[in-house]
Amino acid sequence: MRKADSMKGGFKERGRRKLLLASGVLLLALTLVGLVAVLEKGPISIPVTVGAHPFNRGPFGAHSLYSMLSSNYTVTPVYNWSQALAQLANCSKALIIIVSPEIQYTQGDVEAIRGFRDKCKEIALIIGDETGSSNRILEALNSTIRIQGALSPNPHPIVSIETPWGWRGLLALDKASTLTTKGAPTLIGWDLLAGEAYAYYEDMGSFKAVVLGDGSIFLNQVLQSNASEPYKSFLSSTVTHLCGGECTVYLEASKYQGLEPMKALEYMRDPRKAALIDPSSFLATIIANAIHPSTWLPPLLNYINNLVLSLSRDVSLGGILMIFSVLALTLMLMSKIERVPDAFLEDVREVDWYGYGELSGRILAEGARLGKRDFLTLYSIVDGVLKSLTGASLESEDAVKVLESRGVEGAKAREYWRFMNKYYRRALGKTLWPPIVFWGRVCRESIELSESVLRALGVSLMEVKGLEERTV
Amino acid sequence: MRSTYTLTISLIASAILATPLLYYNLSLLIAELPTIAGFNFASWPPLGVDFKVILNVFYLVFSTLLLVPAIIYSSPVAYALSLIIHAFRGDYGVLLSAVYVLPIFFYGALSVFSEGWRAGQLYSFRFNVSPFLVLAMGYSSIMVLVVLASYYSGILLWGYISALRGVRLDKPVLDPLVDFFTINPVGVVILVGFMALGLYLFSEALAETLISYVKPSKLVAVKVLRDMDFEAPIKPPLSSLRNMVISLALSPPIYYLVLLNLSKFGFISEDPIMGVLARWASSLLVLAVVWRILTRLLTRFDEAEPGPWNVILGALLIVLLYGLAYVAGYWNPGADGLSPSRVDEALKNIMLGYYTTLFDMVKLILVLVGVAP
Amino acid sequence: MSGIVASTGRVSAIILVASALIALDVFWAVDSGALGLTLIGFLAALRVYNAVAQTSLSACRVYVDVKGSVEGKPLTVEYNVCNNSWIPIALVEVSLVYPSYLKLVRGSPGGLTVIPPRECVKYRAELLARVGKHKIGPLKAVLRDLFGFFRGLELTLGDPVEVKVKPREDESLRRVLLEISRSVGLSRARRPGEGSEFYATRDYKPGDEVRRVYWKALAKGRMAVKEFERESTLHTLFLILADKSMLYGPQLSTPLEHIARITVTIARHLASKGDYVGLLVVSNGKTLGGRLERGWKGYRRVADALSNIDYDSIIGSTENPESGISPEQLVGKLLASTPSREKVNVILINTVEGTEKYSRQFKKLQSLKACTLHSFIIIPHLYGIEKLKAFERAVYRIKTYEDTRKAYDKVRELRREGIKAVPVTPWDAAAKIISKLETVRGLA
Repeated sequence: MRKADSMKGGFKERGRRKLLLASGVLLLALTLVGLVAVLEKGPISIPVTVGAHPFNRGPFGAHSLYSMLSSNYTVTPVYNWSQALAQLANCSKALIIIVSPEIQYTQGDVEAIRGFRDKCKEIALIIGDETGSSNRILEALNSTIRIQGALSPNPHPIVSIETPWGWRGLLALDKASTLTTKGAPTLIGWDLLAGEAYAYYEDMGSFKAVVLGDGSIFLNQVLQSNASEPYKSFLSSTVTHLCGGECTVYLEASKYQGLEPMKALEYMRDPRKAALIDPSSFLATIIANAIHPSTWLPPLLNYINNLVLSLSRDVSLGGILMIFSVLALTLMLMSKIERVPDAFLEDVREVDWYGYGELSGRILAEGARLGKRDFLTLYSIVDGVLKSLTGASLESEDAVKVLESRGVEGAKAREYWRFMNKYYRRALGKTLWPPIVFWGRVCRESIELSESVLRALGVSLMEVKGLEERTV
Repeated sequence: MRSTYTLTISLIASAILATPLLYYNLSLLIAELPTIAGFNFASWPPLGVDFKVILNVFYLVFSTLLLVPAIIYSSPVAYALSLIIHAFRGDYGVLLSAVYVLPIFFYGALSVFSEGWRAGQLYSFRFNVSPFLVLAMGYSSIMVLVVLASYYSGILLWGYISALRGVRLDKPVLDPLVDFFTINPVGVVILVGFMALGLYLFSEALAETLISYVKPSKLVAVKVLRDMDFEAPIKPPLSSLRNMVISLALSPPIYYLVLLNLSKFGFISEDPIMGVLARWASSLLVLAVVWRILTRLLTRFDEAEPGPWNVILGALLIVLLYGLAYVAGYWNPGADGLSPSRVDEALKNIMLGYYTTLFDMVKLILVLVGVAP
Repeated sequence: MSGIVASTGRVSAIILVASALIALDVFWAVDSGALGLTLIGFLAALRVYNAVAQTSLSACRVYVDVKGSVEGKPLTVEYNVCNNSWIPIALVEVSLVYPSYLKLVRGSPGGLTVIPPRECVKYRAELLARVGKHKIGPLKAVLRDLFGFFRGLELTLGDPVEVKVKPREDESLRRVLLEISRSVGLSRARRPGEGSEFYATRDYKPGDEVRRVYWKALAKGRMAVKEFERESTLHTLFLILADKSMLYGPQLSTPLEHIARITVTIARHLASKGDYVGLLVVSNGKTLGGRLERGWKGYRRVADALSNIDYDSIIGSTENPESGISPEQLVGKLLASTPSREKVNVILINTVEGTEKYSRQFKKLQSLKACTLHSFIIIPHLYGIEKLKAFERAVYRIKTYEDTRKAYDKVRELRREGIKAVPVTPWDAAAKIISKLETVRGLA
């Protein structure tokens, strides 16, 4: 019977579509809205970190210090001291590390750091500073140590360190500042040659401080160098001493300059200044600016707008542009409008003649296409009839007599017998005469001739009641 | 059993419908003939040849040729193409004239009748006249409604678009974008396209939703369901996020090993900027590759029976890991695998290093879209 | 989720024009944009109407009626499709589903129509009835927009109806049968015996009943008794083994239909004589018909079984060669249909193509004591030969001669195997079957 698929019409294809949760149009609209928002906000500027910032990976950054500490302690980079204080909950021991701050501390900062001392049971301070910016902190925490702030006469002193907690050794400082004091802190570092004080340790019970007149020993270029070992061990022994087993480390990150991208680019041209810059934030700035739509979209759109407008002013170019617009619009609409092939219903295809219908149809439609094989078949039919009714074979000449005895005219019988056997021998390949045979015509002729002969025998090829019973 | 009689009738009707446009095209073509005859193509460059005329004639010939399939197949599309070619030549009068536009609708009707009408169907369908008068009236009033609705919605929407096109902002950054949708014809066409699409899809959704609530039909519902393709593989929601999380867990060791191998062969520059760039690029690359492999691997598990590809991809990950470890000198196949103490120590650093690098970039994305300062 | 109506490719014509109108406005300020949008709005609104009309179409009530159950007469199929809504449905394309072996003689297999609001539309078609059971319907229907812009989902209206068509009795055959049997009434065996019809007189022998003495002869001085013709009751079971080749040939002239006519005519004849008659049709492993019944009851059962023949299952039988019936099953069925202690004459009718499939069954049946097998082998490709013209007939004969010879060879082979098979052609089948039955009666 008819299969169901032919009845489905054209709706099958539709199911093959991908199911989307959010339509393309919606996504496009959202993107447009986002684009407008991003454009509206304008180009962004990520400040490039400069100086001893804990996240500066450049040579003058303090990222190594930060990573070193974070492998053993909880380290919080402080971007804003007031906020850090506000977030401070119960605090048992805190260590504040300040490395070469570049911006002066404000009153707020000072009070916040003082607040740390009030909130925490114990507080320790490590300052490595050659600028003197951190003096306000020392003052606020009632320390007697002060940093001179000016470069010492010998800017690259070799300092001998001898600490109460047992670390001894020599450290080379770079652009260091000497320290002064009005009280009696422990001198733990002095210039080997000039004897000037470069490091003090002060223990006031709940407040301990280690102050160095140089921040450079905490920088990446020192801690990542091949000769970093004494610096690292000094640092870790100091921190271990001040912190004991456990404490929270607050690393100064608020007192360093952030550079504008363009300024940073300028810095990068100068190799000495370039070392100050954090490469990752510099890269981020450059990439962010390059890919930000506000950098490239408005000029691009302006260009497109001008191009299209100038094109459309020209009649023939404008015409072509219009053709494309019409096609684009049509395709855009058609792509979203659900379509099916316009298949009309297929009516039942009736089978008039089952089985041999094809043969009979062919015979009815184009007459009959007859060939050599058909002639041989006819020959064997006539031969069979003759044999069964008279015992004579069509091949033998007796057939002529037999036919005459059955009322076929003598000449006609002989003629028939000659005709049939001539082509029979030709068909079997026993003779090559006649050289050219149109078998269709021969067959037609032989059918007509045979019919009259067969009728004489009481058999017919053409009647409905034929010869089947007689021949087979 | 389509009737040859109806086919002949429709062919004649089709030819009659195309006659006005055919006449118009031919008369224009004939008018251009003397101009073309005046051109001298023998010399090079041809003398006195106006290429605008040539283009015009080309358009006209094309338009006329398109009428042939329009007549033979009663094709409204061919006819419409033949019609809008006139718009391209700057002659838009035909598009605004009912004599030329209405045949599109008749062509549609004609093709429906010529294909749908069966020989002998007048015997099969017997009609009473009076209900069909009701039908004709009902159908015409529906058509009037349809035309009115479309007319007013068209006017309204176009008014809205015109108002939109009048918008001006004084923000230098946004101006080019606004200009694109208001002054630039291409942009306006896109805008109108969205509006038109919205109109069509909205009415479609509204009608079908209302109908299925007001007059639910089991027959139609079942039919629609049956026509859907149930063989579509179901992708679990958020599977890409899941794969991302797994990739993030798997990537660090691979990243670390890749980095080790790169520096071993001197591919990581000493220059700080280039070094950071190389680290970023390799971390992203590793994540992308691992994510891709995992997605292929896991999605195949989700959607179908696991095949040989899953095994191959799984094996690929393992081979990658061990291959890199071997090249970096971390793993000696002769020894009993990786020494646990070294792995334990290394793993923490590896993870930390990888995520710090990766989050530097994530931070960048956040900054870009304005989430972080 | 949309989909009860979808647009066809023709909408692109309107969309093209609409796009051009919009572009004209935008590029050259022609003031045609609103018109362009109106065209798209027109499509949208038209789609809304089509969706509503499609829903109305799917909610239409459909009444089906089929008239005619006699072979060769028209089989009228009538569908009443009633629109219950106030929405006019225009247009609907319908197409009738019917078996491909039936011929539509009047009307069209489908067409375009409209269904007015709150009105019915009648679709009618006449098919030529052929013997057997046919499934007609349902009506396939698709909503079409008048402008061809939209097309609905294909729906089916109404349920398929099963029609049973009884075979027509062959009038000429009936006359032949009447001629052969000398009178209508009880059957006689042309031998003296128990009966009511006078047969002859003979001399009295001791022991003859006194009431049978022929008094008129006694008056002339001769002691004679009257003899009556023996009455005989035939038990005839027609067993038709139907396979695909039973349906060869033009409609109404297939072996199956021919045999059905012969069977039903002979069954009537036998019924009128008070004989037992029955029919068993085997096709595709299934059997139809059954028990032998006496007289008119038997005739009715035969006619019923014939009108239950399912063409699809016959055509399917060759597609699935495993689905035959085993000899044991067949014998079981046969014995179940012949409870009488009398010997049953089984008239087995089968085509040449089917003999191969059923040869084991033949042997098993022949070995049964309870019945005498008379097997008739049909040559299917000779059916329909009468539809050809004289010369074409000769050509057809020549072209199919190979098949004819093979068929006769097959019968000969069967005979060599001990199965008494008779080859029959369309023009001698009836005569051969009847003469066989009469011979049997003569022997009874």
